[in-house]
Amino acid sequence: MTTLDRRLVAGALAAIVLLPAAACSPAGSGDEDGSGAGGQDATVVVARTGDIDVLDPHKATAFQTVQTLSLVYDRLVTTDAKGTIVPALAEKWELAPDATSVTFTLRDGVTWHDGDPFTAADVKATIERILDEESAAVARSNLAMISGVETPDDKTVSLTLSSPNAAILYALSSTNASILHDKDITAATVDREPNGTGPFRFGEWAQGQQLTLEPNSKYFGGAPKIGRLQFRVIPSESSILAGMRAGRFQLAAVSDPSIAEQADGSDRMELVKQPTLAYHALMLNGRRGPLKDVRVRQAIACAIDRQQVVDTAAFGDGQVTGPITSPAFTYDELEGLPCTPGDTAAARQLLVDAGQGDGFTLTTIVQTGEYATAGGEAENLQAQLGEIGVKLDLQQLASATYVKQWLAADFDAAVALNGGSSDPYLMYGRYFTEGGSLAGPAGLESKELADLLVQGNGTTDDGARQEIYAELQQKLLELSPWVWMFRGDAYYLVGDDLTGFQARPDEALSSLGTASAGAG
Amino acid sequence: MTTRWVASRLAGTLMTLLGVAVVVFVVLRAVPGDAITAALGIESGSLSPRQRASLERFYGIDQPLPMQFASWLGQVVQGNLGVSLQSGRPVTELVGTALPVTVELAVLAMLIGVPLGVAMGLLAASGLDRRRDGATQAVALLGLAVPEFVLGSVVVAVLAQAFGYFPDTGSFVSLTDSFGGNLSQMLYPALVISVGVAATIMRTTRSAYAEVAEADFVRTARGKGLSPGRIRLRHVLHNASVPIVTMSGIQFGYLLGGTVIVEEIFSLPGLGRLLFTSITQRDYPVVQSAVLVVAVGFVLVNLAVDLLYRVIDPRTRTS
Repeated sequence: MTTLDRRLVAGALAAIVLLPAAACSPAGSGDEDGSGAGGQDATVVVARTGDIDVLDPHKATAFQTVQTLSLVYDRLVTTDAKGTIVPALAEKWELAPDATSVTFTLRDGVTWHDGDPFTAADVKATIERILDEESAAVARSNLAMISGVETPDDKTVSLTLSSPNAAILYALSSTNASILHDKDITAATVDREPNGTGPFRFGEWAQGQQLTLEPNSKYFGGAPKIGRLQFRVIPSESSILAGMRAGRFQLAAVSDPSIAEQADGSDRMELVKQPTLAYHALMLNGRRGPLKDVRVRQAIACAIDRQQVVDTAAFGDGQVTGPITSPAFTYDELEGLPCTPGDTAAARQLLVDAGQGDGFTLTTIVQTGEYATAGGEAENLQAQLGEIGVKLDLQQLASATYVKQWLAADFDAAVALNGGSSDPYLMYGRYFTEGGSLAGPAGLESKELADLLVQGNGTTDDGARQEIYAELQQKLLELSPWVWMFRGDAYYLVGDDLTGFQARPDEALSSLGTASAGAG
Repeated sequence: MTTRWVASRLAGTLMTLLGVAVVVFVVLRAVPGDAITAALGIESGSLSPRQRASLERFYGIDQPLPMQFASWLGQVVQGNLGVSLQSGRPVTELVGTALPVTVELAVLAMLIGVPLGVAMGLLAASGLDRRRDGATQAVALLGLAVPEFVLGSVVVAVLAQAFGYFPDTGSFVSLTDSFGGNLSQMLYPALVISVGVAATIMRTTRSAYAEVAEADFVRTARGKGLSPGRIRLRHVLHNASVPIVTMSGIQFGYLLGGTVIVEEIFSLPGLGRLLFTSITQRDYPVVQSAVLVVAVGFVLVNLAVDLLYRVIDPRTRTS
């Protein structure tokens, strides 16, 4: 009676036990990607959770896409790790003192990946493409003040500006201002066949799986030392960690603090934490209800202990920050606030002064699924503000819904992760200047803020800019349109066999152009 | 009779597929956000009206909705599944690479899960031994209760930590390219999925077997002195197999829809991930066509199950 059972069960068990063993041998020895080879030909495999979405750098906003295309294309100028403008395709430039024109001298002997020489005509065609609304380039809003492009000779490009704009160099250093070959623009092949001047050539792309970049041996900054760069899409961060532990990847970018925690001290890799330019804030809608009163906004800003948010939501990984995160413009992160954050007594007094001593409720939108700390931040803010009688009604929204309500300023408060920039004007001009493209979600119009931004952007004098932006930071804290909390860390898992990788605040992977593999 | 049966099945199938197409189209448009906000996020707020119009044309969403539906359906009828808004690649190509992955994963999971489930079901139902029944049931319950993302993550973490092994994550290696390479990518995810399949099949087998084992003809067979093994296999299991086949069909059809979580954890480029990514990016043609392909797969599996009934149970042939 039981013999049949036994046979069936034994057969099933054998299938389960033997199959993996059979499969293990080819897989265990299969190191076909050459990660252990080392030297000039070594492939560096980078793991990340998402794939690129478009190939046109002028339309790229997804983090992975920007990161990848900035290795394939160059800008006129770029920034170093400290956020200072340094030469790229332009060797020299001269910004007029009144910031209404800029002239670039282009680098000699640069060639496109297809072999054509790089000339001023390429720059002219690129700028015109960005300004042309038909091409829907995202950099247009930052470059719209360019009123003329002249190319007196093959190596010179002059831009005339309709209004003073000292941020133009930073705007031009964005991947969204990547210089394209005029031939590709005319042939409309930009979104299909990437052809840049950067350290890596676009190779093969298996959508949703992997993307291969080949080194550009003729790169003007020197040929990359690694044989090949491969981006693998591994959607789950815990799988990325497992792959690093197994030595399958040389580099990985992760965002979940709990994964970073597990990676810390693991074999075969080093955890690198890099504060980013992006900042976490509680945006308030100063056009609504009690929030119209500056004292109410200040009370909220005062009640929130920023470090507590960092500790509970981000495992302590993050730096408390003021509004401006640009590396070259660092100021006191609290000066301007009428009290010390976490001082609930002072906060309550401000509410009483404003006639809101009984408290009120704020409809607060929270984005789910985009970054790991959003939920934790919202809950901690809810607890902290509960102490002064401000109740947060949390609405956890999927990304698309969140973006829609955010753009329509359909919220009392928004838990937000906003992108930063090396230039303060590029950070806040679009929120707080008159007619700024994001003036709605900013939640507050202030002539003082707008004036400071325009002034700071209207001079090329470094000392003057420092002073003006210091005042801007103070004013932002004083008016408290939002509560600035902290800059998060970007986490990199760097394999022992990768040397020379350097994390940057703007999260660019440009150091892979000079890194080498196989040392570990 | 057979031709009429085929004709009515075919008509019903076409109606089902059309229904699926309409529902998917409507639901996709009803969720907030379009391809532009999906691609640009808050940056879409900085677009000028003309830029937005240009992008709408680029993404093919400038036409009125009925027009969009009609032009898509027109293409599908001609065998062309459209072009991805994001990558500009033909959907046929995208689905063509994703479908084999999912089908293989589903087949492999069924090959492991169904025999295992049937064996465990027999083990649970056949004995008078209540402890054995209880133990098997507990295992099955555990198999049903542990979510795939937990089991999958644990499997990946343990393999990496203990054996320094990580499933190959380069491009997908098909079975014809390299048997070992393919198996090294597919086996563990298939095992993870098969746990849930086995648990479900085990429970179905157990109850179906227990029910049939009480029937009069089984007692008769026993009375005639047939060997217990023969009674179990030829009489009880054969008669209990209709619900098992039904449940297997349902499970298989479900797996064909893509196993998003397992595909994410093991980074397999299957249909589930293609659908998931395309929904996030609001890549309408890809979602619509891929769902249609899944629906066709489901219909085919149902058809196969119906045909199997006719083989197993002669009574269904006359009805």
